[in-house]
Amino acid sequence: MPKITYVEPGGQAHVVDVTAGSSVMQGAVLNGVPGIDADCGGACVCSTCHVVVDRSWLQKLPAIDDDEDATLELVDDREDNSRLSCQLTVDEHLDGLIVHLPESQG
Amino acid sequence: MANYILNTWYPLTWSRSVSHELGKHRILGQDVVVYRTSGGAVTAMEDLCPHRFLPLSMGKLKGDSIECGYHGMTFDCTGTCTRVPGQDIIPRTRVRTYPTHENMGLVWIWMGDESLADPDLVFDLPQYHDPAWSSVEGDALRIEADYLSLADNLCDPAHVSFVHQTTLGNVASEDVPIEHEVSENKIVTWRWINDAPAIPLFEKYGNFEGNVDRWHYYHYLVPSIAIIDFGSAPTGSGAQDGNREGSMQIYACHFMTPVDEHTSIDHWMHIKSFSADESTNRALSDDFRIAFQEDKDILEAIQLNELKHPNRKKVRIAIDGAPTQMRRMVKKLIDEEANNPTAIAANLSSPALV
Repeated sequence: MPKITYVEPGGQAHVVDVTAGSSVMQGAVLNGVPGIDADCGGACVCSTCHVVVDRSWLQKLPAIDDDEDATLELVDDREDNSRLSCQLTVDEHLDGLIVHLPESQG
Repeated sequence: MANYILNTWYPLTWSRSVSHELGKHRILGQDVVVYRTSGGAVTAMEDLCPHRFLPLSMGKLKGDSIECGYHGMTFDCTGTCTRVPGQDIIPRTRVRTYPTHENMGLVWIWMGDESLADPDLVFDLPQYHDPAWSSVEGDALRIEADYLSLADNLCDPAHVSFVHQTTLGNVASEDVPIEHEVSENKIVTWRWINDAPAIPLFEKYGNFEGNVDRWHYYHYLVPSIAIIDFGSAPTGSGAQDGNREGSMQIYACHFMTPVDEHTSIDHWMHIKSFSADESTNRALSDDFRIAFQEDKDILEAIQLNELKHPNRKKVRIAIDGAPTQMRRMVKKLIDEEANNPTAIAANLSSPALV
C-alpha cells in the first residue's frame, strides 16, 4: 500500500499505509491522524481537510480544478501549495507523499 | 448593498395582482410602481418623481398616465413627462421604465439593460399550457430572508425529510444520498428513493397500494426560478428507467422575487400530471401552503441568527454541495456582467427538465 506521511504543525510525523483508491483525507481520518476534520465527508464543500503539500511533491499532483480552488478560498491560511486532501486520490504514484497539516481547520 | 444579476427576467408579481391602479413593488432593492394600462399592458416605472422624489405610487392614475401626488407633474406610460401644472415648458426628464412580459400567470420584469430584454427569454414550462396537465396558482409568500437563502432551500432535497413530514417527505429518505449536476445557468439536485412508503401527499391523493419508487429532481435556473419535479410510481414498475406508467407527477414551481437583501417573495404554483376537482386542488394547495410556511419559518429564523452572528462561520456538510455551487454560479454571473454589461445571464425559455 502507498505510504503517506502527515506532518503535524509541531513536527510530529505520522506515516500511514493508505489503501489505493481512497483519498488522502480518508487516509488520515480512518487511521486516527489528528488535524483533518472533513466536515462534509469528502464532497469538496467545506475546506476542513486542508493540507499543505510538501514542495517536493507539488508537481506530481493532479492540477487543482475550479471547484477545489473555490472551496480552498474558504481557508484562512491558504498557501500556494495548499490542497484539499479529499480531492487527492491515493495511488502508487503518490507513494511517499508528504503533507503538512495546518494549525487549525477553522 | 447586495449585488444582483441584472440582465435576466425576474418574476415580479402574479398577473392577477396587477390592475388599472397603482401598485407599489420592490425588487432588487429598487422601488417600482406598476399598473395595467387601459389596453391591458403592464407598465413598470421607477417609483420616484424626479421633482421632489415623492414615490409616484402615492399619486393618481389619470388615464394611462401617473399624476404625482405632490404637484401634479404627469408622466405617461413611457415615463415621459407630459404635464407640469402652471407652466408651459415641460422638462425633458423621463422616469425610468422597465420592460415587462406576462407568462405562466406572472408578470416578469427586466431590471437590466433595456435593449437586451428579449421576451423570448422569459421562462416557460410547456406543461403549464398542456391540457393533459393541471396548473394551480398558489400564493405570493413573503419571506424575511435573502432570496439566495430561499434558493439554498430549493437546491436542497435533504431538508424535506425533516421539515415537511406531514406533506412532502418522510423518514424513509433521511439517509439516501443526494446527487447534483451543474450545467450552464442551471443546477439539478436529485435523488431516487425506491421501494419506500409514499410521502403523505401521494398517500392522500394517489392510490398506491404498496411501496413506491419516488423521484425528487430540483431544477434551479439561475437566478430566481426553481422547478421541483417529484413523483411516485408503484415499486418495480421501472420508473427510474423511464417508464412512468401508473405514476403521479407534480412540478412545484417557485418563482422567487428578490425584494432586497433581507426579503424575498416566493410565487409558487403546482402543475400536475393528473386532473382533480376544485376542492382537491384547493386541498393540495393547502398542503403546499403548510410545507412552504415551514420553509418560511426556518429561513426567517436563520436570517435572524445570521444577523446576530455576522462573522460566524457555518459548518458545511455534504448536502451543501448544490447550494454552494448555486451561490458560486450567481456570483460568477454578477462578475461577468460587471465586466461585460451586455452579458445576458440566462436563456431560460425552454429548459430541458428531465
